[in-house]
Amino acid sequence: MFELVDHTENINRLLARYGVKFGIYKDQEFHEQLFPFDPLPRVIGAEEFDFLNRGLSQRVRALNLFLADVYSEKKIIKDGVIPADFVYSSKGYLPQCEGLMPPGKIYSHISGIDLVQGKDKNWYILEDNLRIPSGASYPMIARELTRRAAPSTFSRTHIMDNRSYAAMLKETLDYVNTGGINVVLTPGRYNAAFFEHSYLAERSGAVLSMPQDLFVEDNHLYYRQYGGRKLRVGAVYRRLSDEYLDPLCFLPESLIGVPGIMDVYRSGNVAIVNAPGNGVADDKGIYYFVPHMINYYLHEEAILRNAPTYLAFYEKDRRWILENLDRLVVKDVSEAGGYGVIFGSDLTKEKLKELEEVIRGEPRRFIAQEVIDFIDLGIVEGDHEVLRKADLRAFVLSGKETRVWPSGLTRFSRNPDSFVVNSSQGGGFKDTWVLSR
Amino acid sequence: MKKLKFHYEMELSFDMPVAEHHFVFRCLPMEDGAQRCYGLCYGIEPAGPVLEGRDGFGNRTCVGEAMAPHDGLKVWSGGWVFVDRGAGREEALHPMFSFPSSYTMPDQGLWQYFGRIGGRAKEGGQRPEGDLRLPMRMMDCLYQDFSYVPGKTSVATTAAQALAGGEGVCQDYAHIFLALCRMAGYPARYVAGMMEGEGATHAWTEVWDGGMWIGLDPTHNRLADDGYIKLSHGRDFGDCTVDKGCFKGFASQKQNIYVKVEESYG
Repeated sequence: MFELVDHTENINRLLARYGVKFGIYKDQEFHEQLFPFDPLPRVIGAEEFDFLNRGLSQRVRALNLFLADVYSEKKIIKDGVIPADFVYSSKGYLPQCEGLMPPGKIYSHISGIDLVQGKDKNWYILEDNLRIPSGASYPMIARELTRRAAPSTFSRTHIMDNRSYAAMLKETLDYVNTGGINVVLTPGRYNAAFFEHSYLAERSGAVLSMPQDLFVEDNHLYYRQYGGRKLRVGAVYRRLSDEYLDPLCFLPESLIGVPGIMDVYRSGNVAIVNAPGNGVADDKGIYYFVPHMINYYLHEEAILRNAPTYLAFYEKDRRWILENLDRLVVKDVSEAGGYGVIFGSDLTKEKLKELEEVIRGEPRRFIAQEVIDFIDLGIVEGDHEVLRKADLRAFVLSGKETRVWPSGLTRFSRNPDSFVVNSSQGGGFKDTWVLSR
Repeated sequence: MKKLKFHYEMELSFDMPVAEHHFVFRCLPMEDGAQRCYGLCYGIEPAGPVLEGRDGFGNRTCVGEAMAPHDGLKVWSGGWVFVDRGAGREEALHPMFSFPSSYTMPDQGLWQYFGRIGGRAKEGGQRPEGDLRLPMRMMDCLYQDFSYVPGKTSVATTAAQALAGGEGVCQDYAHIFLALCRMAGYPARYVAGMMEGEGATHAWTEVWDGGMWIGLDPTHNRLADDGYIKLSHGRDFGDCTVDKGCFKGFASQKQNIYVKVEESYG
């Protein structure tokens, strides 16, 4: 695989040409930056992948059951497994979705589960992304380009072909489709992940559509073609967040939504992928309860473990957090994308005091985790290989079955002292190879 | 029990034409144990296809659109409603009404006020069934301390902001009161509707007494009786606006609402 190193520059140049970029809004301005690709893949053995596959699909099955329960009978709350606070004061909980069962009873069709491997070789789940997890397109296109650059590497090694993602995505959309075409709904080209929207649409045979291409008529959703002809839409893989989806139901000032789409969805006349309202299950507070969920719904023990987490909401945990604040990582449950993450060890005495006060004041808002010393992966920097922190975003697709894509997005921090690997914070990415034997 | 005849009318006028106007109205009274409706009718101009349905709270919705350029939109509804607030309603309590919502998030000012008027936060355990003495007392205090002054607040004003300003309209009374009730551990919800007389739409609250929802109108410091017609409910104003819409155009708009509710003996 080291022969790939020689192609690094070429591949990065091609990625730039294809528009593999990340858009970031900073100080009210839109900047595009490249998402640097490192040629050395993360390699996962067949047996290890089998283990991850079982663990991740178990987790996502439980999360889907949880979502269906929260918006209908709420058994898990009535039985006292999860306190009502964590569900109903979560920003991601949408009462507009009450009593609404999505086609195929699936809420999270495409789940992006972030995990890391500790130095003890154990895998730990860091967070679940059940709204619109992005990133699958990057290893897909990187694989495409590296295969072209160094075909012999791939004929010699038994690597699962990750270009299967498109077919898996299509199957997932087809499974919930209520009759009509599949579309990928993008907010537009200034979105951070626009490359991904267009690439996934093209590869999965869905129609890439802007919000103004879609409209509601007679309680059905339609796509307006160039010639004015309209096509019925059966499944929308939407890449805009819940609050912008329908100005009649959520934010009335949304210019990128489709007015009336929620009523069509409520009537069962279109599938929305992922379902609105999923935010209630990928909240950092709910994360704490996922192993309990697996127990409750599936009567199984969780195969993959959470990073050791403490909930400031519980008095016992809170006391422990406050005593050990200088060595924990504290996370604000309502933030995502690497924002609102504070390492106690980075703080001065005064700052620690301040943080203590904030946690005491709003305990529901914070979780604290042990800092996991995770495995470093080699990346190429100039002529050297250096070690950097990296995580793995695994993609789990739920249609007829729940399956893990045999690849994933490996993100690394370019800063040697940082544990934060999010692309919005300037990290890079690698391909993830899953060996077939 | 009362038999009420109602008429609701809302007119939007734009200073230049707008197009692609999408809207949703919640202007048809609810049907529950306490309200039964007869002879309901409604109309929307410019006319177009209207989709009737229910939202996640069980409120009745009319969704429609006016795609061609137009400089006004008019909606009216009317009919008869039998109201009997004493009729017991079998309804399960939804847990979401126990937690702060975006309009009713308490801040320091609200907590201070809550303490000053003798509010006590609930420490575990259930509130005794049927005991609404604390909410009634808080409603009384709020009625003394807050003044009804139109134009000081907007539809976006939160409970905390309204309380800090000391003045507002029925929506603000309802939001502050909801915040106080939830702080004290009483599930409470926002109600949009109409009351006997002539004027605009009204907003009040319902508080869970352990067995059923009791209507409390903090603007008038009294129970919501059979003279009130309920249109919709939710966690706060944002969940159950009577009219909501979006359009394309740079027009500024004026809204006129007219409501008439009278007892009918026929």
